[in-house]
Amino acid sequence: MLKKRFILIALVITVAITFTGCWDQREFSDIAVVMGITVDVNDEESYGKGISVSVQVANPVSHTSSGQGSSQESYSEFSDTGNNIFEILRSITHLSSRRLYNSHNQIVVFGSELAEKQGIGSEMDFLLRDNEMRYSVLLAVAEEKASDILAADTNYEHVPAQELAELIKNQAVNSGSVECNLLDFVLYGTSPGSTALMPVVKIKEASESDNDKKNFEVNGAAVFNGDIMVGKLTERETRGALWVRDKVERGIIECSFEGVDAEIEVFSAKTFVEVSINGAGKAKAVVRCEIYANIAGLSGYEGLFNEELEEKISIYSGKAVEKEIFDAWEASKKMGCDVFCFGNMIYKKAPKDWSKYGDNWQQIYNDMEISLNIDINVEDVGDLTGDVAWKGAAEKQ
Amino acid sequence: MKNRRGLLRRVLSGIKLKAERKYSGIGQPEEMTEDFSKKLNENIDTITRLFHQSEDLKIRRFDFPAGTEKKAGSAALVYVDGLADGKILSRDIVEPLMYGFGGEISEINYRKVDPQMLKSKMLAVGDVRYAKDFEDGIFACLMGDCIMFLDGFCGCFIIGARGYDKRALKPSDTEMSVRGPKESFIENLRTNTALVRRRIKNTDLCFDNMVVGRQTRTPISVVYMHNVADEKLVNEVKRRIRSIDVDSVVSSGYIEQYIEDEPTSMFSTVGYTERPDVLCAKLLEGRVGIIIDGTPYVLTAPQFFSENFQTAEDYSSNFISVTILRLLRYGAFFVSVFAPAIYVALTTFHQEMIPTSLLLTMSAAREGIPFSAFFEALFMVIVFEILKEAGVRLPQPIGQTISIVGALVMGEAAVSAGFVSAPLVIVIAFTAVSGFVVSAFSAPVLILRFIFLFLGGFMGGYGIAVGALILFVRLADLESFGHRYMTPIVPFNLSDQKDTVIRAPLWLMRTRPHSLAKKNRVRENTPVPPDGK
Repeated sequence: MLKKRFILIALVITVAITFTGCWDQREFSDIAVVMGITVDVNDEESYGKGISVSVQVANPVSHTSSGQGSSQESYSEFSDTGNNIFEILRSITHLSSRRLYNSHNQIVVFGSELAEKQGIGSEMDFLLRDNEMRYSVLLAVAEEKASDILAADTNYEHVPAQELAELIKNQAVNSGSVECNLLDFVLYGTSPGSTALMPVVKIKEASESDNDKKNFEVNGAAVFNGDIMVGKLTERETRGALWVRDKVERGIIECSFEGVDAEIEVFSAKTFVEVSINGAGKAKAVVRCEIYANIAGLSGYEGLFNEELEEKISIYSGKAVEKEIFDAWEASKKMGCDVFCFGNMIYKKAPKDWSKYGDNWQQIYNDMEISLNIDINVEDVGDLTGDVAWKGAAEKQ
Repeated sequence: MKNRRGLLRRVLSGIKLKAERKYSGIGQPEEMTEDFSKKLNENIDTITRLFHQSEDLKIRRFDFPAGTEKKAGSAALVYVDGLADGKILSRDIVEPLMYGFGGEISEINYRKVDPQMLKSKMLAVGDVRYAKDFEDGIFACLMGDCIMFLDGFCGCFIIGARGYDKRALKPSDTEMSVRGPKESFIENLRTNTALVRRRIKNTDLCFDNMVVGRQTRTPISVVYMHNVADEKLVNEVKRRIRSIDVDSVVSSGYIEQYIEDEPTSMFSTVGYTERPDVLCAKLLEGRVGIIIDGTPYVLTAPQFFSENFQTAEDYSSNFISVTILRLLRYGAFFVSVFAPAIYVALTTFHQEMIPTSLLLTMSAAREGIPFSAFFEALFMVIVFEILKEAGVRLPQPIGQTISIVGALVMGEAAVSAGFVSAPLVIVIAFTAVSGFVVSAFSAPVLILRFIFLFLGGFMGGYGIAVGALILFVRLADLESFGHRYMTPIVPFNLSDQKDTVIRAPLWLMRTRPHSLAKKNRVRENTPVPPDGK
């Protein structure tokens, strides 16, 4: 009895230890931590190959203040050309003495030429398939060449890719751009009637005072139909799309009326959308936005803040929001895709209708009726209850 | 007894049997065949022979007046020098006999000495009794009492005159307390029993004495609350102590190793304490204490896992802060066992689990380190243990040197020389400090730390998980005097959780631990919460 038990335990332990996948021991000194990947169309004619990929790797450099001020660069870059990312990453082993380690990759930037012409489907295949790549890795589109983006100078972080990732994550503050990770992109890109949005990154032109310092700028969104980029939305249009997609967290809305300029800061927004399609194939969307905001700026108004003013601010800023939404609609009509994902709502709510009208959805979308109900609640006026009446203000006018 | 005995244990018991066969009969004290004689000289000869003329055996012969017949009675006091109190001997025994009560003695016929008379009228000492036999007398002599032979009396008195030097009561060194009582046990058994008795003034507090050790003949006192402790438990403890047949018992650790349920386990299933208040609390929970002469540490049984996380201070402080401290202690235990292993597993197997910026910092720190993370950690853990071991038994002034050298070599030089990475030094330091939080576990923690370091170094997080699983199964399987070691977590008892991971207010702990006390369960009847007005 005891012997049998002993053998059994020994067997279990042996099996448990040997049949598992925990074998790839690697030290820090064996790996090169990939922080960012850029993918571009290969424009070097001589190669004649599909894409060029460059990889930004964080160098193990100490940045502590007590360190002896190492002269080593914080990051290094490897690039190569080939047919797909995997092939190129493997060929980088000819260039890098350490194996590329993708689990900490922060961002993948696609060149807009690649995204517009070829689509990024085959690149996405690798990103999704590779077991080291996280689904939370951020995606972005470069306005021009992606490889230029990660060559930007950094302000806060040591590696440009890391700074860019932080920058994109920070976009929620004014909702002028979007945050899109691998999983988001796949979900939007594969669901019927949806459109994926990706932040657009460019290098901001250096002004004289900046000493030619190249900074990132994230602004607006690239619109993807499936895996192909079909156009760009401006900052305002992006937010218009995000209002309807219920992705706005915070933002500033400006409005002016009767000589009053007001800015309100949205701190919470919730959108309810109901889309229906009638027998004649005419779609209708009822969008109700509940926005809660504080007064962030107010000028040109004499007297204390009152309900009348509050109501006016609500109405006029509501109009500003409406305009953003309609602008986004107009822009998306031209691109031929549904940035509000109304199609997807129909697909989820009434799959039968979708199977009937889905093929023709873009036409229906262009002609649909959108009724907006923007409900802005001003919650707080800040520390001032009216405009500041400076001496001599009347004379100036 | 049980068929669950482990393989190792069976092998060990085989060795024990062989050893017994080989050495049986050796080391036993000579069978005492001597008997009392009526003649004083013969008695004295016998006892000097038995002591092999040892220098510290003192014999004081004296005569006392025989009154009218003008014939002196003669007597001899026999005692071990240094054990018996000379003042008692001279002031309370010799003096009254020689001078004090001459008038009364005059009426006695010394040819027919009446010992009863002597005992009741002349010996001004608290404890006087007849020796049962010669051996009884000798043993009393060895315990520090004094024996008195009388010419013409076939037998002897044992007179309580113990007066050997003993340490003063001092605050405990190992179980410090800020608010609780400061006294701790000392080496003297009688003082220790008195310390307990002083705290529990109750006739139900029982001391059962026995003697263990063929050569050392160490007195042992089993102490328990008659109205609380389970009789079966008391009998089992006594049975186990009685079955010990060894040469010597020098400290309580000797007894512990013979009465444990699982002598091969690294977890001790017998507890110990230096504090009378802790012992009293345990007795009142239904546990049994074993006080051993010559050791300031009193054993308690059964011992549970959770007891290692309780301190005397816990019950004198606010229950909320104690609960937080308890959680910290469990956390520190976890850290001290797993931290180096998890560090190694993370840095060599699961780099994806480290936050990116931390990863960059750590990999920068490890840059240029010639050893793998595993060997680096192993080296540091060993170095730390060596330093600790070197420092423990050193005299204070040299101990400081060790700590300075250790701090400089380990903390500073090793890092700046690029032998070890700074993050690892932090991890090892954290591990080491955490290890001291649950000091009762320092031995198993050390072993487990090495085991898990190897598992983490060779199999990563998976190895640690498998090892932890085996550890938990083993812990749940351990027993201590008929109780599960993990009581009250396994088997689970909701009511007993009040004093396990958390510490409930005292006024909520209305019953004794269910697993221990089988009778007399309720221990308080104050209103909840106490109104205090």
